[in-house]
Amino acid sequence: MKQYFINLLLFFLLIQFAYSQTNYRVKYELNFQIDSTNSKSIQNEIMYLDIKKSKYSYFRPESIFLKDSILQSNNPQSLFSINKPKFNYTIEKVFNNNNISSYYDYTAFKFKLSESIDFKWEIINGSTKTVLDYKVHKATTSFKGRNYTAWYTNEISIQDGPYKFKGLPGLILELYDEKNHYHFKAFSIQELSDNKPYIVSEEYKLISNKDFNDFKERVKQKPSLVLQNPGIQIPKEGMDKYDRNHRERNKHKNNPIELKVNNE
Amino acid sequence: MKNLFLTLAFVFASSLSFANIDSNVAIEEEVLAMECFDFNDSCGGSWEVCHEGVSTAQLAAFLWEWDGGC
Repeated sequence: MKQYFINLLLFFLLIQFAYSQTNYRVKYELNFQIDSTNSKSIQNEIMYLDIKKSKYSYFRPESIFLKDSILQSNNPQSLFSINKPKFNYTIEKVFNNNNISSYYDYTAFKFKLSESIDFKWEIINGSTKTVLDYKVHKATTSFKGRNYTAWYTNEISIQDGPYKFKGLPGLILELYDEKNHYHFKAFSIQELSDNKPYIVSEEYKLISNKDFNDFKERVKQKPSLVLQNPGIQIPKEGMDKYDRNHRERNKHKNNPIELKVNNE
Repeated sequence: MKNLFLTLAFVFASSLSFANIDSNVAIEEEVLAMECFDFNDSCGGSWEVCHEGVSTAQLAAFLWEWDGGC
C-alpha cells in the first residue's frame, strides 16, 4: 500500500515536471464591448498566451505577435498581409514573483509599465464544467474596477491565464467580468518546441502610470503623434486624414478593461 | 600688433565661411539621400512618401500604421 502511494506521488511529480519543461501556446478568443453604452458594439480578437517552460509568459493579440515576428524577419514588407490589432500591448509575467510588465507599442513611441499584482482569489467549491475537454473549477476575484469569474483547470498545473490574471492552482481557460464586457475563452492549447518572445524589451522606455495616461490623452487629441518620425515625410493631407478618422473611431471607445488605475 | 589682430580676424572669418559652405553641402547631401516612392494605401489612395535614415522595418511599421489614414 505504501509503495502504491509512493508510485502515485512520483507519477504526479513526473506530470508536474513534464508541464514545467514544456512551452505552450494557449489561444483565447476575446469578445469585448468597445462602447459601454451600446451592447451591440461587440468586437473580437484572437489572443496568444505563450508560456515558456513555466518561467515566464507573454500575452498579446495574435497580430502583435505576427507584427513583431515579421519586423524581425528578412521580409518586413509582409506586414501588409496582416490585420491591425485592436490592442497594442504585450504582457510579460514572470512566474516566481508578482511582477508584471506591460509593453505598449505606439509605433513611434514604445513604453513599458511595471506593476506588482497579488490577486485575491476566492475558489468556489463544487462549481465545475468542461472547457476544451478539461474539467474546470470556478474562482472569483476583482481587478481594477471589475469583478471577474475565472474557470481554471488543475489538469494543467501552470498558474497563469489571460491578460494579467494568474495565481490560481492551474491554467485559466475562461475568464469574464460580471457585465461580460470582456470575455476570454481558450479554444486551443499547443505544445511548442520553442517560442521566441520576438519583443525587444530594450526598445521600450519605462514610464510611470501618470505619464502614460498623459501620453494617451495627447494621442487622443492628436492621433498622428504615434507617427512622429523625422526620417519619414508624407503629405500633410495624409496626416490630417489619419487624425480625422482615428478621432472619429475613438469617440466610441469608452470601455477599457481597467476602469481604475489602482486595484482597490 | 594691429596687423596681427587683422590677420587673426581674417583667418577666423574665413574658417567660419568655410564651415558655412560645409554645412550647405551637408544639407544638399541630405536632400539627395532622401528617397521617395509612391505608396498605395488599402482604400485606393496613392501618396508620395519620402524617407531618409530609417530602416526598412521602421518604414514598414510606419506605413502599416498610417495606411494613408484609411
